[in-house]
Amino acid sequence: MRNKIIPAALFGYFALMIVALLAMGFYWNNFQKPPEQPIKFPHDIHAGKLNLPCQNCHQYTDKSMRAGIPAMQVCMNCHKNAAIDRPEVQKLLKYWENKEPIPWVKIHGFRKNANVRFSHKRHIKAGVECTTCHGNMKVTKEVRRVVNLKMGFCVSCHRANAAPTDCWTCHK
Amino acid sequence: MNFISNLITTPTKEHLLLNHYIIIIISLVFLTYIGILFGSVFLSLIYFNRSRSEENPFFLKLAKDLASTFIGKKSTGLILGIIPSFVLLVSFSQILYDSSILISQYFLYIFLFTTASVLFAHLYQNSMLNDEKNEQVRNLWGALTLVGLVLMIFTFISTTGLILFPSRWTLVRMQIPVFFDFNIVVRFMIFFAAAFAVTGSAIIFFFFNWGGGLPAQSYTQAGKQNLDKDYREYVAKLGGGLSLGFTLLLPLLIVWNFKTIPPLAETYAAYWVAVAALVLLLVIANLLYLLLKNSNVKYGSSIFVLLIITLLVMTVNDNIAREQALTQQSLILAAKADEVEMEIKMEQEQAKGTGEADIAIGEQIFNSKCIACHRFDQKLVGPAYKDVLPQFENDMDALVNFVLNPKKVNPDFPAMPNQGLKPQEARAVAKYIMHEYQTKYK
Repeated sequence: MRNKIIPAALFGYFALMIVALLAMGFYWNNFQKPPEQPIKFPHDIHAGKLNLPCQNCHQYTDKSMRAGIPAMQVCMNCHKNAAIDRPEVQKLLKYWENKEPIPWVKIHGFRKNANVRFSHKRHIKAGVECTTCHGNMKVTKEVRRVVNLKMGFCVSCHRANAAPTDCWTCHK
Repeated sequence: MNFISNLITTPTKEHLLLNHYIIIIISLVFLTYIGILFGSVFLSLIYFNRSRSEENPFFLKLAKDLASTFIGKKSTGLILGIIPSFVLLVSFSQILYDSSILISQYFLYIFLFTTASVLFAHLYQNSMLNDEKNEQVRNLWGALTLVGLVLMIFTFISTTGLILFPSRWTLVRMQIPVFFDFNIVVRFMIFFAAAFAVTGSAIIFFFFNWGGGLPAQSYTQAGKQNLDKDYREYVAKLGGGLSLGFTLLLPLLIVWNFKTIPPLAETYAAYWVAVAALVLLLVIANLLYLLLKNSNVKYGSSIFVLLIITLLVMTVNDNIAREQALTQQSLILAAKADEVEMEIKMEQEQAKGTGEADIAIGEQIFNSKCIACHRFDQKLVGPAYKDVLPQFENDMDALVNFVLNPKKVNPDFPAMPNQGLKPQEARAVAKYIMHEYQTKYK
């Protein structure tokens, strides 16, 4: 009897672990993976190769709480003529012709119930580089979060730069 | 520790890949050796102290056999411990070149701790085999070995763990990286579980299978006691049980590792590689069970080899996470390498001292940057060159200055962004477009 129970238990235990692992992988692949954008916008070409400054397109970073997704007109300034034969640019032109907004997927943000009030303007004025939170866009093909944007990250940077760490500074 | 970084130049993409392969192979060798060293010294010390209080002739013999087999000759420690830790120092310093993590410093400590532990392990081995009279001295060397190894492993795990959290690199500025994350805790547990699992199977493999097993007259108190049946059974049970226990613990830890892995290091492929590791562990667990049930050590070699393969798979998985977390770092380095290459080319061409050379470099720059918006004969995002170049024909300096510091001239076009070229590069590209314009489009 024992001769059969132990190998069966071993097998069951490992099977359970493998199933758990695969379920976690499946969940990650379907729900937690960095999202795919409607257009594969290459930051490395625009910010890297062409050396466009961030604020060339994200115009509200130093003027508002939100950096803002560039208006399509900003894209069209150049892409009326530039690289119109590329498939991803043609997607852009199609949205433009159909007068539809591009359904970009949000990547950076806070949980609603965290009640965080983050202002881009304040941070830019204080001299924080865009790369501190967004990573080096000059080499990034596909945008994904490079920092976890949890409270520990914010607070350690606030401490290191002698910025206020009152709850009310960020939470409203 | 800047002196190490000063010896390194910006690695290219291919160079980075090579370093990742080196890290996989060397860390497999290094961590397996360190794991077995830790496990065997730990067990040897326990059995030595048990032999002082209990009347069992096996205990002292086992303590000595463990010390003599696994600490080995002086060259073993050098080849499997000290040299690999130095290779890892060099390789990690390259993949993390110019980043804010103090990588060379951390690995220098790892190198020093490894060297110290290997030396202490040999002192322990000598004191055991020469029957050092003062038993406290034996304990001291053994304890120092373990302390050195724990310090080394702590530094190693936190350093390789910290690599997966690029946002913390600037925040952790101690001599040895000390920071808390559950992922680091899991990695510690994985290391020790794997260390004891591999030590157990190594005991069976090296005592019974490797080269016909230990010589019958190994180091014993009397010097002539045979490796008799009872002792064999005792050791087989110890090795098999130890290995089986920790082999069963590993899957739980591997799953927990995936629960705590930082999001930046996560990939889908890693899950499948981990499944492969679990399947291997299942086979190993079954073989260990057979070994214990039948008291038959013939599976010893297969178990040991399979366990090493499992460790390789786990090392590969670790590297997948590392490569993923370092995506941006690698891209930055690749971009820098291209820049360095361009600079070298410029210098070489200038050493030749011909105007032709400048034009060739200018063409290269034009094709990588300017061509996105400019053509010679048609207006695109920017104006056609044939419309704007005539005004610069007798004033090349003005053209170079414009390239270096563009201003908005015509409201019909968006402003030209500064391309961040060096003065030499701007001159080369100005020469090229003027040359093309004059020879083909004028």
